[in-house]
Amino acid sequence: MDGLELRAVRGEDEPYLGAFAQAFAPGDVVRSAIERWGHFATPHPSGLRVVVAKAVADARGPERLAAIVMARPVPARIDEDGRVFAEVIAAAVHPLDRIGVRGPRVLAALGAAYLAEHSAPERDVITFGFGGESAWRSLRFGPGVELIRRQPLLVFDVNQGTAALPSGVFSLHAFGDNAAALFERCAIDWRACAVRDATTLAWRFPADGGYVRLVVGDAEGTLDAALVTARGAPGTLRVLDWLVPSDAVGAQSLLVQALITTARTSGLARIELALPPWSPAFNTLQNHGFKVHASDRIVFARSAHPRLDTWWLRDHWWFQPFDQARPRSPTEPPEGPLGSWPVTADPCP
Amino acid sequence: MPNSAPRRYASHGMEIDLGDYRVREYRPGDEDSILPAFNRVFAAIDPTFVPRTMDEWHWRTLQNPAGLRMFVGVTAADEVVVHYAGLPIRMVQNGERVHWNQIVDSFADPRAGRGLKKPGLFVTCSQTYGHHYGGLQPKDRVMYGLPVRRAYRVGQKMLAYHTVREQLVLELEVERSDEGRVSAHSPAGSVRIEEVQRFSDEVDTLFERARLPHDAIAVRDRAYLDWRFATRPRQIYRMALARDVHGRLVGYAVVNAGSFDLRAGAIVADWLVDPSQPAAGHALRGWLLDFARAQACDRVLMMLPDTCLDFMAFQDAGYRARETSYITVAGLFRRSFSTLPLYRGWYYTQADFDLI
Repeated sequence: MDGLELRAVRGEDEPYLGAFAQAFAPGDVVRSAIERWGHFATPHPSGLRVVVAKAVADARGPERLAAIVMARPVPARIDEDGRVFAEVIAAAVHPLDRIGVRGPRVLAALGAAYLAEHSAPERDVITFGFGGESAWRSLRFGPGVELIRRQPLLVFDVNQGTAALPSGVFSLHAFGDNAAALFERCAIDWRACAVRDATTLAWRFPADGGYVRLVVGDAEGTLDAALVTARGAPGTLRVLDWLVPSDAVGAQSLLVQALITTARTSGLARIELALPPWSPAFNTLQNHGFKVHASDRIVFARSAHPRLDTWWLRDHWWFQPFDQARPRSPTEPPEGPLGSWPVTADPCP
Repeated sequence: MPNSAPRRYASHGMEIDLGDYRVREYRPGDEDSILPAFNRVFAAIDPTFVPRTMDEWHWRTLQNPAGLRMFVGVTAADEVVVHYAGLPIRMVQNGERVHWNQIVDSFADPRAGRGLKKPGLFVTCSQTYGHHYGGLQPKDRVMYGLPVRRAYRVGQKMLAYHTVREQLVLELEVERSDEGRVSAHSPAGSVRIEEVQRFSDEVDTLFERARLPHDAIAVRDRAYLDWRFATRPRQIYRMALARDVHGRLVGYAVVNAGSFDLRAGAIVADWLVDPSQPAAGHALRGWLLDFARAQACDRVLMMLPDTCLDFMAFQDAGYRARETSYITVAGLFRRSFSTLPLYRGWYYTQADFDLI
């Protein structure tokens, strides 16, 4: 496009990035993504994927970044092979460059440049996003980005339950190395998924974030099942990651009881999970009293591999709120601390 | 969505001359070559396919109260080798009376494959169809369907299908159901169920009340329901009306024994209940269960959008939501198209699709 240079971000762009962030209100998703650059760049050795549209000084304003697309690489698996996915965490046009038809054109051109650079079978095989309709509209740049699913929710209305965790369920400060073994057991049933281990779980659910990690395990350090939960929308306990192997039927029942207890002791009336409809737990949790509700949450993705098309991803991708790490807008379901929940002794030292 | 007709060919009215082939709208008599080709093509790709009879073809194509939508690609001898068709349906969308169009039964006869060069007779036929029938009023406002994987890919290319939702189905395991017990102790006792062979004009009044919670809904009036269920060849539907203590119609249900997504059972073909009369829903669900038991069906299967209130009412009655092989899709002839309004506000059942 005239007056625009589409390319990967460079060190010399740093002051322009700061100015670009300042063009958005405090708390805005784009501003937060840039301000927390180091956080999002940390987990993966290859760092963030960032492309910019650099604009020369013109009638609209001085030399600047006209648009930016940022994504974080995610260690993942496809049929047991290590792969890389990428979550788009920001895609935006500078307010000066949004006037008229220029804005959508700039973002479309930059999105296409981004995908040409990063979306490839041996690089980021899946580029994805998750959020409401506004996220879908702003992040679905570029060709081939498709809506995978409008995520139904499993909802339980809490009206009774005990005050103590059921026997065999523990609350952890943090996951240890045993989380990786649990992930391997779960991943047998997941043909596509992001990798969970102590490092990724600690990054996604930091120790000071007020998350509650409930596990079923034994004194030898084996985890049979686990989940991570936090306060969500008002009155709601939101399950952010569900790590329950399909053969851990007893552990699943214990975790459901523990969730009810956690919600009750936290004064929350509703428990909410988001599981793919193909998962066995989507069915079995309904036998525990969960009801299926519609939601406006959308999973969308661009596959760089013809075999992994939209339909395949619908049928095989284990997608959880765990996978959404980008900054949230004020209109999105929050992940608030539960705070007062007592952390019990770690059974897996 | 294609927003202009293919321009590389000379168009003469509704006819496009491609040299060896022509694309044109349906003409009486085309069915003599459409039906054999249809039965041949679909038998080759679907092991469960049951050949369609001419009676059935006439019913679904020529007797549809919403009209006819069909383009064909024909040889110089006027033999149909490509067929692109839809079932129009009258809708009330945001209070406005419009038509939508369900794309069905499209095929290219592989026997003519060597002549179907790129951009292809099939592509030309489908784009012409989309341009001719789809658009703003009075054209068809929305193209929609419930495709399986293969049809989804074709629809995405030809008609810019967008996903509305991964379609779930509500399933009741008859053996484990306690719906009968629940019904006996619920307000359903104040509702009377009456089986009928045809609908009467009073269903039009029910529809005007029952449509109000929905932003988009097919017009379920007497003309439509009788065509869809009472006069359909080779299918026997059971239809029940729910009446309140004053004899007023407050809901209806239609069911038959069959299969959906390779699951056999009592398939709820249609369902409409006055939203102010939940007892009608209780009573009709009891009737569905009675039907399933009488027919020795293991399950009752009900397809509804997960955004409608009835979806929750069925779950409260013991139904469980299960995944299916289908995705509900729609396309609209506007660049700003979003499926969100349809996701939130479109009410449909199996009646709106041609699977049963």
